Amino acid sequence: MATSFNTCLKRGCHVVYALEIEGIPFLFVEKHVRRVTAESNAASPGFIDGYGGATVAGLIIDGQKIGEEIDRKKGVSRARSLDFKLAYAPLEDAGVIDNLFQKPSFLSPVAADIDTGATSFTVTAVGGGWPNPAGIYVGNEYIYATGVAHSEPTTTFSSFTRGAWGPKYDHDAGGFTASRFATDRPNIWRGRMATLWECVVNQEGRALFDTWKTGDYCRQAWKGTLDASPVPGQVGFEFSAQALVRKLTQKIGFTGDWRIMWNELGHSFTEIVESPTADPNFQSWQGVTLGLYDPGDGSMAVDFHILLDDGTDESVTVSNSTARAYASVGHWAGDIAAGLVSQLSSDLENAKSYTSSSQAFFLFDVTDQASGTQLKSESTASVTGGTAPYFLRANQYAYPKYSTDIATVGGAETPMNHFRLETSWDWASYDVFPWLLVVNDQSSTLQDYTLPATGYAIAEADGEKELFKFANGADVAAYPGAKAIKVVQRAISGTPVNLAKYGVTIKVVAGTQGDLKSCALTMLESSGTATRGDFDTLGLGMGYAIDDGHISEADFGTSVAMYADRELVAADDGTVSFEGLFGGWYTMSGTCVAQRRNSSGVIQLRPVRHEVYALSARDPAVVSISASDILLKGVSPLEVVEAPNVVMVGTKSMANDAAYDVTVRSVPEIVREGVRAWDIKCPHMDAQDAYNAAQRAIVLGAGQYAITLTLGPWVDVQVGDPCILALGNHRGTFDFDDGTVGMTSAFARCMGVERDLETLEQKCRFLLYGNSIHPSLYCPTATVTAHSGAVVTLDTGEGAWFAATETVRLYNPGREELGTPEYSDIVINSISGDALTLASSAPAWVANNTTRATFPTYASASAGQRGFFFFKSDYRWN
Amino acid sequence: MSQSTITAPPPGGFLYAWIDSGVPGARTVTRPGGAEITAAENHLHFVDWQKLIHNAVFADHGSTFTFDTATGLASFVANVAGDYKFDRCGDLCGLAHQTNVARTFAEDERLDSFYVPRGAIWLMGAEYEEIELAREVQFDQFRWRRGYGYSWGGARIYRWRLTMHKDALDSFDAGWCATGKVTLQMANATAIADSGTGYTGSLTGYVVGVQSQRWLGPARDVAEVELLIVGAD
Repeated sequence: MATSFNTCLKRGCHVVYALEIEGIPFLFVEKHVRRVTAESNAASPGFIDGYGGATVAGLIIDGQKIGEEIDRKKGVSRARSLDFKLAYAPLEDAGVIDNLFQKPSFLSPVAADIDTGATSFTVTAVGGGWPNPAGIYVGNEYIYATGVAHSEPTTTFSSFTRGAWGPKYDHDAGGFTASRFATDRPNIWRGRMATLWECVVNQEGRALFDTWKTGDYCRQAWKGTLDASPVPGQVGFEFSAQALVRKLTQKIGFTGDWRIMWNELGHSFTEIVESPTADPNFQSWQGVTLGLYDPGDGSMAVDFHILLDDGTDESVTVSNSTARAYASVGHWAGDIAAGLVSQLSSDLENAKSYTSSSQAFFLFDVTDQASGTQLKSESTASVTGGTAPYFLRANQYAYPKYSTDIATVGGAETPMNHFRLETSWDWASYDVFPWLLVVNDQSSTLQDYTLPATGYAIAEADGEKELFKFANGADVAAYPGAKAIKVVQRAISGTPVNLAKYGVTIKVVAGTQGDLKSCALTMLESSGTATRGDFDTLGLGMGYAIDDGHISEADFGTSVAMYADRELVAADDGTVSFEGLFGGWYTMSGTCVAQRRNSSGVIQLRPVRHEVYALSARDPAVVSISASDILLKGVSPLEVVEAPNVVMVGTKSMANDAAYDVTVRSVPEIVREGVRAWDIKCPHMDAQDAYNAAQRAIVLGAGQYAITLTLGPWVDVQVGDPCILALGNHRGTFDFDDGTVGMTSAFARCMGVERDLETLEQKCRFLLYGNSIHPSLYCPTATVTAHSGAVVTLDTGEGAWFAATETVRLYNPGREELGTPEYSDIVINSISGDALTLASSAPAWVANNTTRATFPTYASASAGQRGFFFFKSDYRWN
Repeated sequence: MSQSTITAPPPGGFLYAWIDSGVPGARTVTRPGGAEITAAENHLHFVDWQKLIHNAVFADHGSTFTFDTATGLASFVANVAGDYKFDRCGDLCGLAHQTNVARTFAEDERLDSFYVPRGAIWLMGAEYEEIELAREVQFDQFRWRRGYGYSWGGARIYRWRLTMHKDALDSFDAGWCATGKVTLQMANATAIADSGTGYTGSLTGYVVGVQSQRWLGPARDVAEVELLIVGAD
C-alpha cells in the first residue's frame, strides 16, 4: 500500500507549492522539479499545453500561514487570507511577464452578449490584428480560439475551447467596465479564484508525482479569491487573496424598487405578435381580450397536448380537423390565436364532442417556429362532455364575437370566422400568474441595474406583503428601461396582493426558497449561467457563482446539518450574504460552514460539526492524536470556553416580520454567572426548532474548555474533525470524567488549524468535552458490499468498527422478525481492511448492499462493543 | 574498467538514510523488453537503505544488490543480459546519477558504486551528545526543499557531529540523510544478516536539522557536519 501524503512528511519528504489562478493559463510553481521516475521535470497539467499556457516558476509564499477557525456563533468559519508573490526574474526568464502584466494590446468590446453555450462570438477590432490561434481573456474566463476571422471592423472567434483553465461565464456586452472587453492579456485580476496546491518531493527534492496537480502526492492546501489587483513590489508582483469561505460573508444581490406599468382595461390586440416583449402594445393587463381572426393562410404550427384523465398525453395539432381544443389565455396569446382560429371555428361550427366521457384536462405547448421559443400554458382547463369550455382560472370565459349567438355553437352550423376569447383575472388570487411590465420606481431609487431573468420580489400594497417568484424576465423593445416579468409562483410568503391595484410597489429581493440545503446551495452556485451545478438557478448577481466542484453538496444534507430539510424563504431586502441568511441556521444545527479538503484532495465548502460528544476510536472519521504527534513546544494551557446561558433566536424575516423571536434561558446559570447571551439570526426558523436548538447549545456548552496543540505535519486533521486526544496524562489537562489530573483520552473537536506553509507545523485548537452528561453511541450500521463464503466485505472504511474475535451481527433491515429471522451473530476470525473473515459462511439471505453489519446484543458483545447501544422494535440495550 | 570517482579512504562507519518504498522513486529497476522489476514495493516500507537493498527482490531473473561494509560500495549484478534502468535507487547505491537512463549489462555483469552511495554516507568519525534544549533548526540550504525536521512526543534531542570526506559530503548534500530518519553506525560496521537483524552499536533518529557544515583544515578534504537528531519513533 502506498505511503500516504501525510506520512511522507514525517519520513523526510517535503512539499513544493503550485498556484493556479482562474482563467490564467499558467501554473505558478515555486520551482521546476525533476521527477523520481525520470530526469525530466514534472509535466504540465492539462489545459496548459496547447492552450497558450505553461508552468512557470517564481511563486513565493515565504512566511505565510494558512488557517481556519470555526465560528460557533456566525455559522461561517474564519479563514486566513493568503499573500503571495510572483517573482520578476523567473517570469522574465520564461518570457511571460509581459503576457501577464503588460497592458493588453487588444481591447476589443464584445459585439453581443456571450452566453456559456456560445460557439463563436464577435468583437469590434478596428484594423484587426488578433493572432490565430488566439488566447482571449474575457472577464474571468480564458478562451482559446483556433478560428479567427476578421472583417473590418469586427473579428469573429470560433472553434474555441471555453472555460479553459477555469469555468465558463456569461459575458454582457452592455457593461461599461473592463468586463465587456476581450483582451489578449489579463485585464481583470480581482475576484479570480486562486488555488494553492502542495505537492510532495522526496529528500533530494524530486517530485513523487509525474504531473502537477495529479495523483496521490498532490492536493489542494488552500483556496480563495484574489481580493486585489497585483501590485509591483521589490522582487515581484504581490497578490492578496481571501479564503473562499470568507466569500460567504460578502453581500450580494441588489436593492431595487419597481412599479407596474398599466394599460387601460380591455386592451385589444389587433395583430399577431411573435413575442410579447417585442410587441409595442405589451403591457401589464388587468383584463386580457384577444381578438382571434383568420390570418388567411392558417399556417401557424400549434401543437396541443391534451392530457386526459387517464394520464394519456394526446398530441393534437390545429390542422387536424378532428381535434378539439380550447386554450385558456396564457402569455403570448397572439401566437396562439393565429394557430387556433381556423381550428376553433371549425370545431365550434361542427359542435363535436370530446371523446373523453368525463373530464379531460389539457395543456397547450406551442412552439413558435420562427423564433424557436417554446410556450407553455401555466393553467389547465377542464371540459365536460359537451362543448362548453370551463377554465380553471377564475373568471375566464369565451364567446364568439361575431356569431349571432353563443348558443348556436352547440348545435347549428354557423360559419364563424372570428372568435373572441376574453379573460378577466382576479389579480389577488394566488393562482393567477400574470405578466407584469415593470419600470424602475424613480421616486425612490435611480439605478442602472436591470432585473434578472429569474428571481424573487415582494409586492406591497395596503400594508400587505406578498413574496412572489418571477421568470422570463426580458427587455421590452417599446419601453426602454422597462422589463417584462412573468409571475410564476404566488404568495410564497405573506398575503396575496391585488397586483392590479394602482400603487402596488415591487421590491426585488435576493435569495431563494425551498429547504435549507437547496436554498444554501442555490445561493452558492447561482451564476445566471446554469452551468455551476444543479442549483445554479438564479440570475446573474444573485449567487456566488461557485462551481459545484468546490462544494461538497452531500454534506449540506441532514447527515451533517440537522435542519437541512426545513423549508424556508431565504430572501432579504436588497443585498444579503450567505452568512446573514443561513449562518444562524448552521449555528443552530451545531455546525459551521468551512472549507475542508475531501478525500480526493480537493478543498470544498461544507458544513462541519463543532459540537463535542462521546466518540469512538473505532469510528473511521475520528482522528486519534497521541503525544507522539505533538511537537515538543506545542501544548498550551487549558482555557475555559465561554458558553451561553441565554440564546436568543431571531426568526423574523423580511417576508415574515411577524414571526417569533425565541429566547431560551438557563436561569440557574444566569444567577450564578450573569448573562452570557448569544443572539442568533435564524430567519424563518420554526419556533420549536429554535427552542430545541437553543437548549442544546446551552447544554452542550456547559463546562467546555479548549487546548491548543502544535502538531507535526503528518497528522491529517482539519476543522470539524472529531478527535480523541491521548495526551499521555499531560499535566496541563484534567480529565473531568475521572476527576484526575492529566488526560489519557479526551473527546475533542478540532475547531481551528493554523498551518505554517514553510515548516508545515500545525497549530490546532481543540474544543474539549464539557460537563454535560454524554450518551452512549449508537451502534454502527455498516453495509455489506460483497460476500463470498465466510468473507464479508463492508463499505470503505467500515471494517475499522470491528475487531478480530469479536462478534458481528448481520441482518437485513425490516426482516429481523420474519418466521426465519434474517439476522445472525457470527464470530470474526480475522479482519483485513474492510474484509471480515467469519468463523462460518455468511447466511444465504445475505445480499450485497442490502445486508447490514452491526454489533451483537449485550451478552455477545465484547467490552469495546458494550459502549454502544441500539434501538430495536421491542427493546433497547445498554 | 572502473569508473569510480571516489578518492576517499575506506569508511569507518556509515550514516544510513531511511527509504520509504511505499512511495515511487527508489524501488524499481526496469529492464526494457523484460518484465518490470519491482525491487521493494510491497515488500518493505520504511527501512534503512541497507535493509532495503538487502531485501530487494528481482523475481524474474535473480539479479542482486549487495553492499560491502568494508569498502562502502554497493553492487548490482545483472543475472540476465539486457538494458537496465534504475529509478532513484541507482543513485542511492552510487550506481547511476540519472533516473531511468538505460545501461546495458552483460550476463552476470557486476556494477559497483562509482561514487559514495547517497543512502550510506561514508563516515570518518562520529560523536554525539544529548542536548537539553528542545529546539529545531531551520535548514534552508535548499529553499525549495525546505528540509524541516520536527521534535515531538517524549523525544530526546541529540547532536551528532560527523566527520566525512568531501566525496561523502557530496552524497550527504544530495539530501537523503539531511532530512527524515537516519541510522548512525560506527564501530563494528557490519552488514545485516537479514531483515530482522539490526546493527550493533547503532543509533537511529529523525533529523531535526543540519546545524552546521565546516571544513576541517584548509585542504577542504574533510568536513564536519553537525546534525540535530530527535530520538523519537
